[in-house]
Amino acid sequence: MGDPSSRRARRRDVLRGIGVIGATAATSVLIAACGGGASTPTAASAGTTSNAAPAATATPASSAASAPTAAAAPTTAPQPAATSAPATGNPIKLTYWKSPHSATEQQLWQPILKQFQDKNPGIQVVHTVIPWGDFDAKFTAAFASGEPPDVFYMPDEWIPKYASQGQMADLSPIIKSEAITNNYPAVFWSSSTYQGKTYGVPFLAVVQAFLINQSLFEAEGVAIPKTWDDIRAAAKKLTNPSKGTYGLSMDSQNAPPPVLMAGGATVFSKDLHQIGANTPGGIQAWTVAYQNIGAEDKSMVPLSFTADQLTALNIKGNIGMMWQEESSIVAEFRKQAPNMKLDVIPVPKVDGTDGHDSAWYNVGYMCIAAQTPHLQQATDLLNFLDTKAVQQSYVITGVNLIPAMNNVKAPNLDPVVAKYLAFIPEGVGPTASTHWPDVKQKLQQASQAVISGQKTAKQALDEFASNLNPELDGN
Amino acid sequence: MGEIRRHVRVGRTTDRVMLRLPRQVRQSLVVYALLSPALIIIATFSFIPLVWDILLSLSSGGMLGATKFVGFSNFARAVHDPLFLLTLRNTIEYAVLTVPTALICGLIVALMISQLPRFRGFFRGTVYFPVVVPIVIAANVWAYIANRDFGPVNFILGLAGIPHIDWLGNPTLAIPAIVMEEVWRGFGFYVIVLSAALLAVPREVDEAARIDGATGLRVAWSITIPLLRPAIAFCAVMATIWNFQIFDVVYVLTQGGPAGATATVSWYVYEQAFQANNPGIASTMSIFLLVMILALSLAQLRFFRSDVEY
Repeated sequence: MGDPSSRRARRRDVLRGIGVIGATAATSVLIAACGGGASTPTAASAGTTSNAAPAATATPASSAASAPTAAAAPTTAPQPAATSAPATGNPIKLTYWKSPHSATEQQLWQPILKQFQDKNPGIQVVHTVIPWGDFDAKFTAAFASGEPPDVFYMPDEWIPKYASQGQMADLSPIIKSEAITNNYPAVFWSSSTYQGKTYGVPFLAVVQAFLINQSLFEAEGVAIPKTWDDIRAAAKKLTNPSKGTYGLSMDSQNAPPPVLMAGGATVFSKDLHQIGANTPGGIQAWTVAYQNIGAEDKSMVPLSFTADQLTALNIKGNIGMMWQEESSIVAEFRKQAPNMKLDVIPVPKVDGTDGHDSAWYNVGYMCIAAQTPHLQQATDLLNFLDTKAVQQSYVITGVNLIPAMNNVKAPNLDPVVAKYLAFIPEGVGPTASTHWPDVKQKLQQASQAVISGQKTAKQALDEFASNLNPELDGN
Repeated sequence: MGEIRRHVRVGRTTDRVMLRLPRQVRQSLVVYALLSPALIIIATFSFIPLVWDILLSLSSGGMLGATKFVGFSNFARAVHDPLFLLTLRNTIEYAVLTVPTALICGLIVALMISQLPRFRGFFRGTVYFPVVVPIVIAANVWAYIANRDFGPVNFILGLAGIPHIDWLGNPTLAIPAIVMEEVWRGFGFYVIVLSAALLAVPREVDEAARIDGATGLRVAWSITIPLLRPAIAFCAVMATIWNFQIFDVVYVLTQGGPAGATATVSWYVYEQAFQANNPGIASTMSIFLLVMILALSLAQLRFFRSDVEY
């Protein structure tokens, strides 16, 4: 039977042992979780996003940097000595992150990066595809951990966030020559220039404007509009909710700025200390676009329609004038609605203002991390990525987007896409300000207030300015 | 044991204390050691982030880079932010509409199912099904149901001669539309909890009341529901906590629109933290939400205090 006291003693010993083991295991798990080796590049699945997805949803397409010849390494706060490939044998590993513009992103980059590695035998490039949904989390974690990618692709709207926190290398020294800057449309440099320094070189772009469903216009006997009065009349004629057709769809985060531009107004003042939207021209532009067509005529697609519902209506040909990105022409319309005749118009200038025809563009850039230990090699890779050959093989042939470089044109360019390209010089993109994401969100809310009839254009823009002006600090 | 003795005065009573103390200490150590994994997890994923959140609310700066201590200026800024005040109002409106509606619907359905002679499990499973549907799917389905021009809700209303309503596009009706979606999606949980509580209600009390001539409604109102009070208390507290934190359906369905009509505090916290890169302001607003939920939960617990056991 055994002595009860000895049995208790054995039980105490067992309990003590379990407690010690449990505490040790928990502590070990914590140490393992908190400690951490460098995050190894995850070979993220070659994206699930389609070619045309990025700009329409989370992130606009970004464009590539290019710098044909790097005379000097870009300067950043720490100045590591330029390292060359070790004489012996271990190649320098460069990490290169890019979010997908194609379902076969990894495969598209393989031959391109192999070409670079063949020309630079001392450098090995490790390419990682970063899903768009994880973009901010991955980059924030990488920068915070001190192990960011050496070279990476970044959409325009994200650059101020990371540049303002010292995470991106200043590329101004390598692009100061006109021979380089003239390779790209002048407007493309604005979004990557933050507080006087340039942090990215354009790689690719997307443009948004009014895509015209010419088939619907012809069926209803309406001429393609040229002015806002034409747009209003056409939208009224084409809107018939019982038939499920609508004249205009324009609720978007990206439509309000070019509408303001059409009235001669900009979202920010030049010094970024104030909102510049509530000028008489900006108010008039919003009045003709949102108040007249949306609130009074109700000729717009209802605000409640989701993106999927809008896409379905677009493809079915139920919307006369659709706010669309050029990448959807080939990726969606030509494939799913091949018989639909299409045309495109910019946001027309508002009569009686000093505005001009406008459109929206997003640009993506190639950038270098400020913390990279291989600045020279990263610059070499950046230079390589920003060449006409890569623009042709990846941007045009691979993902069918707009190459950022001048004089790089796709053969057999879709005629509607070609028209979109013509809108770029007078288009408007994100402002290089850390406040841009917040301002853009609130600008969209303000436009919805006008469309839904809650506020007039003047009330909405004045309130928008008075709410945001105290927050703006020029950054 | 020897070390402990040196610090304890020797005496008969204290001798007994000394003999007991080490064993109590040993037993306590074992208990804490066994609890340590859970305590470490709670500390790591709840307590430390809470402290960090409070510290962030007292500072300014981005996610990366240095932060600067600014005292309570974030709090002052938040109470003067019109959009934050709007989100507070929206959140309270949403919770005031959703919590009682979901609880009452759940209670009624639970009572009805308990009266069924057969297939109770089937019906409980049916009402619980929306709870397990992923929010993205549920929200997109609801977007079609509530669609102004081709949704079934407006179709049925149209049969009664009511003009089409833009549920999610009308700033006045957008929150009620989301309330309908969340009640539909969530009331099944309360049905399950209340059904389980109903099983514990003694049948003799019910039968005695009926023998005395009480109708079904009278029995439900005067006997069954009072006996369900602990379960109702639990559901009320949990419903309050969850619905004040609503984020996912707003993010998927309306993005806070139209014109900020459905913007809730949680959604605005997300926007400020991850879009606007203002973690200090976001933390401040989350502290406001925390205090609000805490106060309401304590008030509810006090209200139900005498009968709550869980």
